[in-house]
Amino acid sequence: MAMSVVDRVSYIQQIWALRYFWFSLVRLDLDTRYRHSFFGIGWSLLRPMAMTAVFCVVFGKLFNLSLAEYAPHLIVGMTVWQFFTESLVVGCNTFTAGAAYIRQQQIPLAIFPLRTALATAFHSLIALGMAIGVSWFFKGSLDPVAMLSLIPAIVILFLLSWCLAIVSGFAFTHFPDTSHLLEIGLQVLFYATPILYPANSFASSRGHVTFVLEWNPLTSIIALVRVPIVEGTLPSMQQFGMSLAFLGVVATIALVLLRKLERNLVFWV
Amino acid sequence: MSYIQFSNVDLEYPIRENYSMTFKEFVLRGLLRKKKTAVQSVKALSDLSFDIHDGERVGIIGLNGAGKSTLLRTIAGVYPISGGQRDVNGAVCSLFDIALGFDFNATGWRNVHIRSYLHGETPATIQPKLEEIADFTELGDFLNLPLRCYSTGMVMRLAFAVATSRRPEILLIDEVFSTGDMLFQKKAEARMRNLLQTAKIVVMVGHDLAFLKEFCTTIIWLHHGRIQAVGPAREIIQAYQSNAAQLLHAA
Repeated sequence: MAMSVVDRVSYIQQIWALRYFWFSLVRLDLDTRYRHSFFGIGWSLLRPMAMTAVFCVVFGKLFNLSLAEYAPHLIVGMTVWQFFTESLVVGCNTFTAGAAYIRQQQIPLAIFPLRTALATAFHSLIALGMAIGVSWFFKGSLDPVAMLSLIPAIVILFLLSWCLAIVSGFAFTHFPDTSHLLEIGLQVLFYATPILYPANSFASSRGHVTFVLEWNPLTSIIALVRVPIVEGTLPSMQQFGMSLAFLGVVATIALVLLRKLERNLVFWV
Repeated sequence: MSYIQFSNVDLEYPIRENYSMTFKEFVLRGLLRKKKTAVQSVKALSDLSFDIHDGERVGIIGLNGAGKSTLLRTIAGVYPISGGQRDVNGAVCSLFDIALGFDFNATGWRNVHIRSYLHGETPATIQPKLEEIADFTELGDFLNLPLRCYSTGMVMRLAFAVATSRRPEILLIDEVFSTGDMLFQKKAEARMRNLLQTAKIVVMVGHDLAFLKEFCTTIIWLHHGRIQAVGPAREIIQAYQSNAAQLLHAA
């Protein structure tokens, strides 16, 4: 059952027609997260801050890096990583959270992962703002041209988050084990991604590690944000290419899942 | 011109042995190349054909588990059909599970907005309705409080007010609405009657045969997911009642 172009356009139109609905759900999510807590938005900042502080003390020593060098590297990496994991983890519950609506009327299901992606993007943008602030503090200056390249990077990251939430949402509704698998998988991935350590730490030793780091798409995705802020240069074409290719793969999976499973999801939530 | 056309519609409902398959099961079945028997399907509706046109008031009757609510949800487009042709033309408003999906930490107003947006309203179209909804609920300042401070009755009033604030062409109502407290409250009854009159097509599921006989033009009698009979209300309800009497007698 191939989806025609007309179907796709009308699907996007349906999402747009319900914009006030999903937008108010996002606002609700943000309100419940921020308004009812003492620190409010501060929580979004506190977590990466605290993690960065701890890691700086431990790993800065280990890698023999100065605070000024290591802190910006780490905090930007942590911010992107946080965004990535939250999209997947919160994405697990994206459809179950919307079950009451799904059982009432036919709605384009992609709006629920969109809600997850938007709320996650909101926290992450705040955290990114802080990460930029920290980098500026330690480096003393930021390159304006390089900073502009963050715009396409953020667009790529946002689309990636939406697609990841779609994939993990479908996976979770069909296999509730997904959340446990994800926990383990993300733990492994965290160490297989240059977040704590610089991407070139293993450059001298040829072997599995370099291979993993080179082909890990997250290496490139983190670089899209980290290179302009920390190094003040534009990310390489290879890094952009790799990120887009990864987005393409995840988006294809998400679209296939939507096409195959969307109509029957009502029976599973 | 609104219509609902079903021709040879089948609906299969997947049911799993357990609530859902574990990943272990999925992998093992894959490795052992077992058939995925974990997913069984139940044929909830089979071979349904009928046409409903403007002005018709249709009642769906049948014993418990006959597929009445499933049919209503299939008309609404919530359930995907597995065979046949489903053709529905007109703005559909479904009145089932109306109190589900409210956020209990959000205020009454907030919930009114979210629910209305789900129905396709925009801030501009919702504005003139707000006052009327608030009046009907009689909740006053409670609308500024989170729903968790409401009593069950208050939540129902809010849900009812929002759900019935629309002017749909096709109105689908589950039995909760045709009986119970709602219609006994004079105000709700008047509002409901008004809604029933303005909709071009009404399809309702109910057990209150006297009400259905008075209100409906057509009755669809379902039995085990199939149409047992369809036709003028009086005739079908009479047949249904005598059938039920026979069953009682036999028992």
